[in-house]
Amino acid sequence: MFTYYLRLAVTSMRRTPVLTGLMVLAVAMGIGASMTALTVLRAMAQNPYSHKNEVLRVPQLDSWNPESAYDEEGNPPDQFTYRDARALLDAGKADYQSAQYRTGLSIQPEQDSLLPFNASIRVAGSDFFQMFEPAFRYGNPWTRADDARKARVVVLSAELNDKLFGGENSVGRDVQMGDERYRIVGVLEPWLPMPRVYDLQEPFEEAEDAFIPFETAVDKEMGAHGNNNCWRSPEKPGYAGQLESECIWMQFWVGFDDVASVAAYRQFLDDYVRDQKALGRFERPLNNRLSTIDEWMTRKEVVQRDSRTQVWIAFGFLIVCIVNTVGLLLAKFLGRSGEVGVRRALGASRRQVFAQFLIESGMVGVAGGVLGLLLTGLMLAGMRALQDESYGHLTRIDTEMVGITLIVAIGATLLAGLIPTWRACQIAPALQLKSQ
Amino acid sequence: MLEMKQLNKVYRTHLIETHALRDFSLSVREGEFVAVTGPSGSGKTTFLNIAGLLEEFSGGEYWLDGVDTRGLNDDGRSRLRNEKIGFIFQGFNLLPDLNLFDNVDVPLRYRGLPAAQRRERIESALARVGLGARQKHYPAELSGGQQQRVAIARALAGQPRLLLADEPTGNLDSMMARGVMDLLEEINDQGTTIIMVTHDPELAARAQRNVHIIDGQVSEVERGPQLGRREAATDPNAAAA
Amino acid sequence: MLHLKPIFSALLRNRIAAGVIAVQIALTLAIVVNCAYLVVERVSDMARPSGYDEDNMLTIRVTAMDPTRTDIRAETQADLAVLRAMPGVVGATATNALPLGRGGWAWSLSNSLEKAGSGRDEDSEGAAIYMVDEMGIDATGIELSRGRFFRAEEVVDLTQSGDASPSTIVISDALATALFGDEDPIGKPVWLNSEPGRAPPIVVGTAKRLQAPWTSWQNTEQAAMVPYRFLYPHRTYLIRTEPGQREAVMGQVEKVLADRDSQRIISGLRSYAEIRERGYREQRAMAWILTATMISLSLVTALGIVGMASFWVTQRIKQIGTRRALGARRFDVRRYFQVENGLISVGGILIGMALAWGLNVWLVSALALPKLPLAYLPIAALAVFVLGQLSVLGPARRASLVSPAVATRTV
Repeated sequence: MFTYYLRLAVTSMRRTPVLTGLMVLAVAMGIGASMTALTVLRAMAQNPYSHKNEVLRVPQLDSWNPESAYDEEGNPPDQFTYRDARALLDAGKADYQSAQYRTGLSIQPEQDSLLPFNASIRVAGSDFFQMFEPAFRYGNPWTRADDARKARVVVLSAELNDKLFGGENSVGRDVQMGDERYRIVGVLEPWLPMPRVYDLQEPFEEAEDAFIPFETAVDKEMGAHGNNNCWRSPEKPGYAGQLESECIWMQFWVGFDDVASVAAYRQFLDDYVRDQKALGRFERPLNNRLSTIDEWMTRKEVVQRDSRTQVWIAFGFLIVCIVNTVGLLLAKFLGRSGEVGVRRALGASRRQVFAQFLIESGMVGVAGGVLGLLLTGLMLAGMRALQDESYGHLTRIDTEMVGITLIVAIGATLLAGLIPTWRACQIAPALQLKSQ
Repeated sequence: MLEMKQLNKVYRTHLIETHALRDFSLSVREGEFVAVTGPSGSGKTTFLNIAGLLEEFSGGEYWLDGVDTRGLNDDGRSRLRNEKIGFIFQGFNLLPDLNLFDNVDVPLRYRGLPAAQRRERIESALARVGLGARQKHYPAELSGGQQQRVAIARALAGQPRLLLADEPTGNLDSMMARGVMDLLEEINDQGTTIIMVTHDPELAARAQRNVHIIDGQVSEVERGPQLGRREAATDPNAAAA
Repeated sequence: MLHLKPIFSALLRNRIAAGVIAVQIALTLAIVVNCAYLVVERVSDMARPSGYDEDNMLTIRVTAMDPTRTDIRAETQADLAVLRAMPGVVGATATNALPLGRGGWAWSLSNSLEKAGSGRDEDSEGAAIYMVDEMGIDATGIELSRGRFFRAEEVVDLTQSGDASPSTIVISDALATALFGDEDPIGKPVWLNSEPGRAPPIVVGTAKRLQAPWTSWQNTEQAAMVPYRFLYPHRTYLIRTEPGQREAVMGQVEKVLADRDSQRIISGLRSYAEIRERGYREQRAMAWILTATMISLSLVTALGIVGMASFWVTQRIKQIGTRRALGARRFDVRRYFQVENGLISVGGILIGMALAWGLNVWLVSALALPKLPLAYLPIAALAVFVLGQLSVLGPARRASLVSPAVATRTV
């Protein structure tokens, strides 16, 4: 019977191509708009490290201005001073810990064919690789021993290795960066944690071109390409003054093998701040945090307000499209009251008429869903064109989204079909095709 | 076959009550060909609607082929209609979106017959009305007489016990009307009970029995001249198997 | 006389279909009003001038390859000299940041020493800081509303390890108002909050307009220029040309800098139009997305009205024919459908205005969006009404062409 209803639906749709087209187009537009907005929202809100959500943590210490909180909600600062990062690194109380920031270096390729260029550099500890687990194509991360001896070592991204060495195994070779040569210890596979959890200042940027040890970068007096906030100016000039200052400019991450260790680390942070209070720092009330990744993403408002607004408006749009479909289906089904009367006279039960018309609604949904999927692809391309390059990573549609799209489309039209179908079922069996 | 006892049907609007049928009693036996006549507004159509289980009635009894229709809900009436009754409408009532094959298929679909059996019945029904070669045509491509033949084929394909015809020739010229009447008589000869509503006395005369309705009541029953011959009809149960 | 009553009672008999259209109109109105407001807000943001002579400006970045072994001061002075000597160039300067440039520096400034020392945020005003030399006014084309620009002797070197203090400052009018209200700011000192001990720079001039690098910052009009020779290894040169000369200069400037010294990285050559384009990228994207939504939404609703009205016309052909037979003119038939649509629209609009207001209240609380000015409601209501009337034109015309002969045709 199902195939019979399907055939009737197709026949009916082909008989009224304009009305059917209008309905399909309306459903497709609503689906396209809402799925586009939802795709972007989902990409923004996802946590690429959800499997390590509890064991990767962001400590926050309230080292800020005694007179004014860091922000209106009274949160502690979202970055670290060098002094506190140094102290936490030296204490080494977590299983993994890394202070990090972003900087830039000019790279002078050996080939004459390549001009010198600027590369973005992530400055981090060797534990960074244990915590964020980028896959290595060649070689390995540097070691804690390399950290300790401020080794001039570097891990290249796949893209930089392709550019400099044509994708060959470059481990053991050197690369001139700034005024020094760095030994290549590892090359990553292409890596795109989206959002870029380890540094949420620019959550949708790609990972950096290369990674060097934190201790090395500090030794070489490299500044941060990123926010540097000071509630009090450094007392001394230059890099030494920056290191001693209360300015916050680096990110700090800790990792644990076991969630059970988190409580002890929390205690350690509180003890550390109490000790510092005794030294005259940390005049604000004790306000430490040790956030999970999810908590951190919420605090850093990774999902932009515009994207949320777009989702709400897009779903409003979808509702209008559904209401529109209700109206058109109503017109279409009531226009066939003669047919319903005859079918009823020939023995169709209400349930059979209901099934026939609901399946026709569902068919509109399937067609609308497929067209909506195409529109979603087009609209996402439009979004890419309107936004900057990094936005491209947010506008990929995966199989799960395809599934969701079709289900929403069919579900929405079935919903839209309910009232018109119910009305069609109410039509009495008749001996006359009244509309003829 | 059909037994109506003291049937009443009242239409109510907020202003008036109309008694469309009043203590209406009628009995039709297996294999009969009955013509129902009467002036417009007399209750002919209401009678047909109730006989065809399209409408409920307010009081009385209606037995169809041994089934008491009073206790039936909408689904039950749909099933009974589908299995026992074939309709032939004045306006033919073919579905314009479906070709002839699919039109005849409609009642069979609702009966849930297997595909092979449906095909066989549709083809033989269309062949019987002389349209076997035009299965893929659409109703709009046919003349009125041909459309009515399709409607008859649709009614026959379900192998009904009772054929209800509402002015079956009302929209046809006399040539075509005669052809349709010949076909109905032929069907009746093979054992199917037929009740035909008409206002054409010439047509009514061709039936075995005439029932005249006035003001919602059976006013007069005339015996047709050929009654004796028809009573010896073949066993109609064979056709409904 | 519009004979509303019979039309209204006919509508009541089709109340599900009429209700569906009214609900659709209501939702459309509610969404369009809120979208329109968000678009207008963004478009007016984007129309704000930055204060720079953007049409005639370009920027280029220079990065020293080996900062420790480079005399950045000499290099910068030499670069600026060749840039200023280029034909068509009005001025050039090295700077740390650009209005609309997305990244930059900010200081917290106070109008008194006590406030600067209090450490409280509410005692200070945030200001974007641009470091430029005495050519800064020629290189940017900012318009002074009061006072003067920097003198050569006021400009001090700022290196990555340096600690020089500026003695003077030029602030935007918006910043002047925030700091000093109606008082004349010229000659007044401004203190740095993070460093109350440092000698405060004196305001020597005010700029009519000077925007911060961050376009969505609430205080984006608060900015200042300080007289620094910006001597970082990584710096931006701002170049202003004579009208019409920008393209010519853009074609030459990379070569001019590379010819002087090729042993550094020269990148990021951009006209100011590109910087503006990047600076407002999110706002522009949002404006386009919302505009597209509004258009599609109106289209869907218009098509819905066309579909429903056409259905009604088909359903009523006999009725229309009878009316025509009884003496109705074509005009009367058209008017019937226009009035019918008008009645539905009015119903939808009334619900829609309430809905729009409710939606905005919700958006304000849930997404911290701005509050909708009431004036938007009647304008949008009128627009939606016109949309409905236009949509029904076609079906109404078709209805008016129904022949009176239909009345006598048998079924």
